[in-house]
Order: sequence, then C-alpha cells, then structure tokens
Amino acid sequence: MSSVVSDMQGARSAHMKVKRMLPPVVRGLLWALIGFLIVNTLVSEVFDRMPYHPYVTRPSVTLGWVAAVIGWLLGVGAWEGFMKPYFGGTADWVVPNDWRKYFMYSIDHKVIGMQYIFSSLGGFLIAGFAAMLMRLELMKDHMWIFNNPGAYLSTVGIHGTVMMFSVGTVALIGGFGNYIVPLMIGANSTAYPRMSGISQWLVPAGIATVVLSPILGQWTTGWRGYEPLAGQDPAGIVFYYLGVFALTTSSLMVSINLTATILFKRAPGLTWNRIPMYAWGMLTVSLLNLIWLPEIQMTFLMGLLSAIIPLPYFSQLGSPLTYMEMFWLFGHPEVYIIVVPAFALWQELLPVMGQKSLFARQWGIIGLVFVMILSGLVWAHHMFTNMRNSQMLPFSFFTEMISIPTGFSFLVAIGTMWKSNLRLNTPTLFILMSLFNFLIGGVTGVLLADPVVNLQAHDTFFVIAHFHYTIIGGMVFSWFAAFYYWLPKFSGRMYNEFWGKIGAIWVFIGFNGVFFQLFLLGLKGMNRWVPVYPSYLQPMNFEISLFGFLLGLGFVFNFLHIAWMWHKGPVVGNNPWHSKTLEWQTSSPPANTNFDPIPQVIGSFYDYSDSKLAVATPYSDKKS
Amino acid sequence: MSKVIDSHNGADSVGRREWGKGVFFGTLTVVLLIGIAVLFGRYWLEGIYQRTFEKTPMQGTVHVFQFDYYYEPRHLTWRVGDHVTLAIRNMSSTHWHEMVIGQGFDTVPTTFGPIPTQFKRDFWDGVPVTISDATHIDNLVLNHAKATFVGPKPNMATGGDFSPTIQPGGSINLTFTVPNKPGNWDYGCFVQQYMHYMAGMNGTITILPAK
Ligand code: HEM
Ligand SMILES: [Cu+2]
Ligand SMILES: [Cu+2]
Repeated sequence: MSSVVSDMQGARSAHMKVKRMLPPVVRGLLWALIGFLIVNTLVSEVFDRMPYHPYVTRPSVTLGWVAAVIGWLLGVGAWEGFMKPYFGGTADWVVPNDWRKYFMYSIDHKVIGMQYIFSSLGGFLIAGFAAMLMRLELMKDHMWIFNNPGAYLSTVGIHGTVMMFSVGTVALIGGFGNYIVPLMIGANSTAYPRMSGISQWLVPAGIATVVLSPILGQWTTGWRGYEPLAGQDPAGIVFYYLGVFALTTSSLMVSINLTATILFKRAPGLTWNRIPMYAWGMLTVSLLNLIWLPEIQMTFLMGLLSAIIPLPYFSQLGSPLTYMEMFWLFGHPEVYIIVVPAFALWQELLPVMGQKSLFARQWGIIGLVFVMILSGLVWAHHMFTNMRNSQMLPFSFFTEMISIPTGFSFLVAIGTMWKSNLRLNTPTLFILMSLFNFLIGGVTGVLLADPVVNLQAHDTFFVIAHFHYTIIGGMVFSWFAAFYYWLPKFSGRMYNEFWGKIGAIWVFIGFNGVFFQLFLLGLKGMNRWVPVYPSYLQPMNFEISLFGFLLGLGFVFNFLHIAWMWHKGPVVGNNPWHSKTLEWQTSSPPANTNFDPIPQVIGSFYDYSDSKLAVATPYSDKKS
Repeated sequence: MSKVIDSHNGADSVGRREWGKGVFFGTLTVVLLIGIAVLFGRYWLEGIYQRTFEKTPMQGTVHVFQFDYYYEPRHLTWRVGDHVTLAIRNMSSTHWHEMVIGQGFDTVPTTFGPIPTQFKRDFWDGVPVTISDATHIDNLVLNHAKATFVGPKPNMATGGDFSPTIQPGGSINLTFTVPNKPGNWDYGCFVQQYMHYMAGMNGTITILPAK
C-alpha cells in the first residue's frame, strides 16, 4: 500500500533518502516522559522546594502532566504537522497509506474518525473491565476482591469517568461523527482538519490519566469529582481532574470542528432542510458541547486548584454546595450529549431499513433542538435531597417536560416504521432494542423526576438501573447499530447476519438481565457506592453479577465479530442498504478523496417514494 | 503555505519517513506492562526497591512525613544502640494521623469481619523516650513507654499502644536509643477504623542487631 507513495514520487524518489524515524506514538511517549521529568523536577526540587517532600507533589505532578501531554501531542505528530508549518517551516510529515496511518497524526477525517473509534473502544473495554471487577466484588456481601472500600470506590469512579467522557461523549461524535458527517454532507474534509488531528490524541492521554489515578492515591467521589468530598481524598483526584480535562478538551475541539463543517462545508444544494438527520444530531450535540463543556471545565479547574494550592472554593470557607450545583448544571446536559446522537441514529437508519420516507422530519429536528434547550433547566433534580420543597417543583416540572421532545423522537421512529417493509437485520434489531430500552430508561426517569419517588430511590440501585437503561440501552445499543450499519462503508465488507443477530440478542438478554433486576434491587434497599451491603440482598446481587459477565462477554463477542468481518467478510457493493444519503454515493471504503467531483444535491435524502437519487452528479469511479 | 502530506498526495513530500513495527509494538507492550505493574503493584515494587537499596541505618534526626494516606519514607533502617530522633510531621491539610509501631494485630470482630485495632506487640514497651517540639498534638498515648518531656506537655490520653495522634500541620519529635529489639517492625496509622492503614498508610522498619 505504501508503495503508492513511491510510485507517485516517481523519478524523484530515486535520489530521495528514506528517513528512519521512531514510530510517532513511541516518540510521543518519550517526549511525554522527558517533559514530565523536566517540569516535575523543576517544580518540586527548584521552584516549590520543600525539604523532605516527596519527589512528586500535587503541584509538580500537575504541571508535569501538562508538559507530558504537550510532549505527547507534539511527538505523535503535532510538531511536524501543526507547529512547524505554523511557524513557517516546511512540513515533512508523510502518512503512509497502510495500518500505520492510524497510529500517527493525520488530517484525514476518515483516519481521525477511525482513531476516535479505536480510542473509545479502548475506553469501553477498560471501563467495562472495571465494571466486571465491581460486579465481582458485589457478588458477596463483604469485601473479597478489593481490600478496602477506597479501592472499590476508585474503581467505580474510573468506570464512570472513562465511560462518560471517553465513550458516551466521544464514540458517536468524535468517532462516527468525524468519519461520517463530511461524507454525509458531500465534503472532502472537515473545516479544521489540523486541529481535529490533534484532538484525537488527547483521548488516549485522558483515559490513561484517569486509569492511572490510583498511583497518586485513591479517590472516592465517583465520576463527579465532588468537592468538598474530594478535599478529604488522597491525591488521586488530581489525575481525575486532569484526565477529564484532556477528554473534555478533545470533545470540545470535535464540536467546534463539526459545527463549522456542517455550517460551511455542505455540498451545493444541501440546504438546511435537506441536512441529513445524523448531521442534525451532530450539530445539536455539538452546540450542547460548546455550551456545557467549558462550564464543567471551569468547575474542574476550580476543583483542581482546591486540591493543589489549596484554595478554599468549596470548603467551609467557601461554599460547599456550589460544586454540586455547577457539576449538575453540566451533568444533566451530558446525558443528552450522550443520547441525542442515538436519537439521530434511529432517524437515520429506520428510513433506510424500511425504504420509506422519514415520518414528520421537522418534528424530529424540533425534538432534538428542544431536548437541547430544556436540558439546561433541570440540573437540580439530582439534588432533591438538598433542597426546599418549594424549589423542587420547577425542576420536577421541567424534567418531566423533556419527555415531550424526547417523545417526538419516538414518534418519528414509530411513524417511519409504520407500514414500511422494515428489513429486520442486525442494525434494525439494535435500533429496536435501543428504542425499547430507552423507553424503560425514560419512563423510570419521569418517575425519578417526581420528588416523592426520588426521595425514596435517591442513590439506590434504582438510579443505577435508570441511567444504564438510558446510556447503555439508548446510546450503546445505537452505537452497535452504527457499527453494523456502517461496517460496509468502512470496509466494503458485510457482517454475518446470523452471528450479528445472535450478538444483538445476546447483549439484549444480558443487559436486561442485569439492569432490570437492578430496579428491583434498588427498591429493596441496595445503596450505590457500597462494596458491603446487608446479606438479604446477596442472592440477587450474585445472580445479577452472572448476567453482568454474560453481558460483558456479549460486548466482546460483537466486537470480535465486527473485527473479523472487517477483514474477512463477504465483499459487498458500494451501497448495500440502497440508502440515499450521500455517504453511500461514493465508493466503500471511500477513496482518499471522498467525492470527485463534489456532488450537487437536488432532492431529499429520505424520500423513498421513487428510486431517483438525491444527487445530480453522483460519484464517479475514476479516482480509485 | 506548506501542508501536511497524507500519502495520496505524497508527491510533494520532502523526504519519506518510515518507521518499524518492531519498535512500535515492542515499546507499547513494555509501556503497557509498566503501567499495569505500577498500577497494581505499587507498594510491592516500593518494598522491593527499599529492601534492595535502603539498607544503611539511619541515625540522628529521621523525618517521617504523614500524607493522605501514606508515609514518606515508607521504610526505615535502624541499628540497635543507635541514637535516633524521630521527627514526625503531619503534612495533610485535612486529616488527623498517627504513627504506631509494632508487630502483629489486635482485632475486634464486626459485622464486616475482624478489624485490626492496633498492633499486638508495642515497639515502645519499656523504651525510654524524650518527647519534644510537640505542636498540634490531638492526643498522645504513652502506654508503657518511659517518657520525658521537653517543653510543653501535649494533651495526654490512655488506652492502646504508644501513639501520638497529630492534627493537620502538627508535629512531634521522639528521641531515643534504639532498644535491643532487632527484627522487622511495622508502622501504621489506625485512624478511622484501620482505613488509613488499608489505604496505604503503613511502612516497615528493619532493626539490625548491634555490631
Ligand atoms: C458491562 C456493562 C456495565 C455494568 C455491569 C455496569 C455496572 C455498574 C456498576 C455496578 C456501577 C456502580 C454502581 C454504584 O455502586 O454506584 C456502575 C456505575 C456507573 N456506570 Fe456502569 N456498568 C456498565 C456499563 C456502563 C456504560 C456503558 C456506561 C456509560 C457509557 C456506564 C456508566 C456508568 C456511570 C456513569 C456510573 C456511575 C459511576 C459513579 O458513580 O461514579 N456503565 N456501573
Ligand atoms: Cu439529570
Ligand atoms: Cu492516618
């Protein structure tokens, strides 16, 4: 493959030297290490020297971490690809056209999308492993895997943090968004490809930071990093704040890039009312990110300063409840950041699978936008136990209001399926499961929004069940639908329908086996954040854990199936689903240049009343 | 303006750059293993390091810093007959900590299983010790130590092993001649029902026989 390069260089390449270099990732690690050692030493031994202090102190590790991340990004390729040209130098950064391109800085949105997909998959597997450890611990009513509660709580925190910030917020946006959106809107690149190339490399850095946080010490706050609780913790919380900062920065950059891409890089004729649903989803979710991520980043920075300086923002001298308010101000929109892309996917896939026009398209979009708007008005429903009765009412009201625009997404999906010849294949199955699961998550959400119920169920496993139904049931199932649906796009190959369905049913059974019982467990009085619990809850916990392992294996099974079919699956044509959206009007997998020439959009992508294409100059095969 | 070259338009590249699989996968594997090792085996690795490299007996003033939840250093070496001042300082800004030295555990049964409350054998039993520079001491339990006080006497308490419990920012100096009790000793903080100890707030002392 990389011979393409030398062919194209033709005669010149004969007298051109092939420079040997360290693999960029390895160089990044090396530069990160050097950066850390220099800055950490300077801070702890020179500028902030205190006799007999350990070599690594909270301030030194913080600044050392900053240097390490900068070193990592530059080493991975931002130096040649971004900085040198910025200062007017020449870029000698060649990305070979083989597997190597996924392990270095690149500006191709398809490569970046893939890198994001791998990163969040890595996060999913790591955090999933943590979940397995937690379920293992909860099989018995006393401590037997972890030797102290702090270790269990750190694991819960790592699980939640990595899941939320590297899977929930990233998988469908940074991953599929980067890959699919430019293809969908008929563009050959994103708006800020260089920035995008950098943002991806923050994800592995962020995951590694959070996962390695126990090296600095335990932390007991869960994925919320609550102050002033965190102020009681050992220094592990520092790596929580830093890791999450890296991950959120990455998401922020993705959002800026996708917003600009959708606004400015659409193909001619792709007017506002023709923007594909998934692109709409990406646009709304990007706006959500742009509003809320800076807010939470400031909160985390304040938490960090409280931990390293220390400043008394959230202690008795400051205002202890403020952190909670600030966290949930972001925390609730975060759930919609996770689930809006899933809504968009339902509406993207169902018309294709049913070969029927999207039902009430405007209402689908209005639903997305109103979910986005209302999401900022409900945060205090996470704090009903901390407030006066009179304050509960508005938050309860707005929370239950959200079920209306959410309902639009369901109605659009159901209306589209109505009387269509729905192909009941693996992606459809996953979408249907996602609809089903999210319905349960949504209904129990309305319940929890009711203060009377909430005050009973607060911080029990009922809540755990509710949000896993929305996140796994809604988002992760749709994520799998996306994997199966776009697999032919990525690889030109098709998965195996039989094993695909087995995989879907497998995780569906595993998932409902775990999380439906968690509702009951919660109602029976099982608190969250405890590795030790009353023994009457033990039989049920034991059984749930078995389902938990089944679920974990099911996820792994699906990934193995996809990975296998990626390489060995039967080759299919460019548009196996007979979809009208643009990403299928080019070759599968797309050539380096997506569209040549850029297509002209003349119709609706979701109108399946005839077989006419929505583009005037569809893809011509001349380039690849 | 110069641009980043993706392979397809590699024609304007200044020079080709190649990198090898071996270094790539080799390094990643090594980094992964190091990561797992430090994540799960931190205390174990520290122990090995300290047993290997920190064998020289410490004399004179020996500083022990208390953090949340660990000591710095985590290993001490003394020789019987050495004259030592143990300068303990609590560096935490939030937590009370103690430093108990002993061997074995006394436990109490609880619903959660037996929980160690203190050491079975108290290092300070019968040891003459001079206590000085005590600031912000929550309480000091002497047990069977033979104490002399220099300066103001800290708040005293009874019950359990010899242990100074130090408030955030507090400190205490214990001056003594290492008694004839050679062997391996543990030190730790039993504050909050042994939680500090379990979370890593412990260390070891090797006492070498007299020369
Ligand atoms: C393999 C499937 C999974 C299992 C068995 C599982 C299990 C658990 C358990 C036992 C807890 C701890 C409950 C507590 O004590 O508070 C938890 C918490 C959590 N999980 Fe999962 N989980 C799974 C997948 C996921 C996924 C895919 C996500 C999100 C993308 C996720 C997000 C969270 C969050 C945010 C928390 C809260 C953590 C905290 O309190 O800091 N989980 N999960
Ligand atoms: Cu909420
Ligand atoms: Cu302590």
